[in-house]
Amino acid sequence: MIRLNDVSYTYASGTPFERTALFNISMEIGDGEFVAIVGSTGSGKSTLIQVMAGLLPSTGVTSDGRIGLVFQHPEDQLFEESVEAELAFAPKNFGVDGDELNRRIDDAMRQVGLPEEYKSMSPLKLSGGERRRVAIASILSMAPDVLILDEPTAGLDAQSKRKLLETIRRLNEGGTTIIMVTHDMDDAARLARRLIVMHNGRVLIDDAPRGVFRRTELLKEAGLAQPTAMTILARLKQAGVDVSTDALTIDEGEAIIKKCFRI
Amino acid sequence: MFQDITLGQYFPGQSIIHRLDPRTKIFAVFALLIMIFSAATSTEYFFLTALIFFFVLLSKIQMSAVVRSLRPLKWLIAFTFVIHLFSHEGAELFRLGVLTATVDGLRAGLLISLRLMLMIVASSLLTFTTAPLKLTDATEKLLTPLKAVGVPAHELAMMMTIALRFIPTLFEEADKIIKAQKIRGLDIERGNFVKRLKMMVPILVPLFLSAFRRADDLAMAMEARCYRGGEGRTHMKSLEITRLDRLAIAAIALIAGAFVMIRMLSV
Repeated sequence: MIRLNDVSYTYASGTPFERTALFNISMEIGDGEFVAIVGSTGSGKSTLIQVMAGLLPSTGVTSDGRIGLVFQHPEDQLFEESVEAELAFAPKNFGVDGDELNRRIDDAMRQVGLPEEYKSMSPLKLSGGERRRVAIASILSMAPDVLILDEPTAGLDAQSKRKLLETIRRLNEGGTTIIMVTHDMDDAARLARRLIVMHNGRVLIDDAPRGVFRRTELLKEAGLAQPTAMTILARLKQAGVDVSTDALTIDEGEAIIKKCFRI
Repeated sequence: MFQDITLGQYFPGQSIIHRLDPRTKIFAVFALLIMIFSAATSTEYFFLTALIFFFVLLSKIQMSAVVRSLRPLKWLIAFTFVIHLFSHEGAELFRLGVLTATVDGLRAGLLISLRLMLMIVASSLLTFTTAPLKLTDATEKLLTPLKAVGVPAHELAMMMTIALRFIPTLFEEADKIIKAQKIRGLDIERGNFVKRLKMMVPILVPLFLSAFRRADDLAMAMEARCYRGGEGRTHMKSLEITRLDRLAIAAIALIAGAFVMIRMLSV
């Protein structure tokens, strides 16, 4: 559980470059939730997750359980000579060794779908998508209770992206709390059960995806789009077709259109 | 952890000092350094301190920033002071084992520390009030006459520009990598020296890798835009010596000239 009680954060405080990124944020994220954080560039998303993870000193943040944070392009943080050593780094730092350490490494590799024989390979010799998986596995091996991800799919090809999102979904089903920053409204709508919309360092909306995406005006203010299905339905409605625009996923949208045109 | 570093940090502004041509400012810093090196009496030091303080006021740079610029060298200053305190002959001040602090030592220590501080503040003032790019432009211009003897003025300036451009980027990158490894349980603030050195590996390896990658990308991008050195290259914003610059150069040259003259006469 992570609780934020009236948290603000200012960068370069006391210098001419002072910039406040978060204003009086209060929220609570419970165990097992799947939260997506959305917002335009500079809205405070990255600061918010770093505050949650305890990386930026701020008062009013309480959490229990281990928090794992996967930064954007986490593959840039790999440094060990082998995948196995890379995955062992975090658990070792937290005092895990022996059989438990091996079990953690095997689990993490399985969770991200890395084959056994990759253990001895150098992370630097792998492809971009594989390096991303190693980087995420290197966080999973510390068995976090809460996993925070900053745009985990940025720069991945379609297939790697789908696989990674599937991995994240399964982790959540296994009980891990997921907090994911994303720019992809379709992913947010499809996967998250709670959506936090950030705007200029404040929480603009905090609701279930359906509730969030219904508030067209507020979304526009935050500089965000609606999911693809909603956008298509809204266009149809604009063109004079009498349809409901209440669809989060492509499948829901398809069903509505089929029903409307009786096909 | 990188918030202490202000050396070479530009504070945008519109003060008289900001508006001076960077070449004027480089000249003025040199003149100040010559004066600082030739100063010997307390009166001279007092005059220089007042002069530099006046320049700081003119630049409208916050005092706290000026003080912060001294911080990275605080140990050097303290070390110099202590060495001088104990290494002069004369009336005893106090004793520390075999070491004797003297009144002369105290005076010399204070003046040398002040000299160091004045030098740092004077050169910080240049970088505080001058955009790095202008500074490298000025360096290039000032080095151009040396091209005749084979000094690659443009290339040196370009290297400086690139280095300056990437310092903040590398700091950001280092900050991100440190945070990422902290999440993975890396504790860089504890342990003995060897342990802390070992802790640098997870930070330095990714940092170097990314620096090389960036260098590669940059070289490619420069190639793609047909960069081929300084020949025939012009600047979008040319440096210009204005009336203000001529005035400033004359003033600082007069002050420095008079200062050195008085110094020499009094020997």
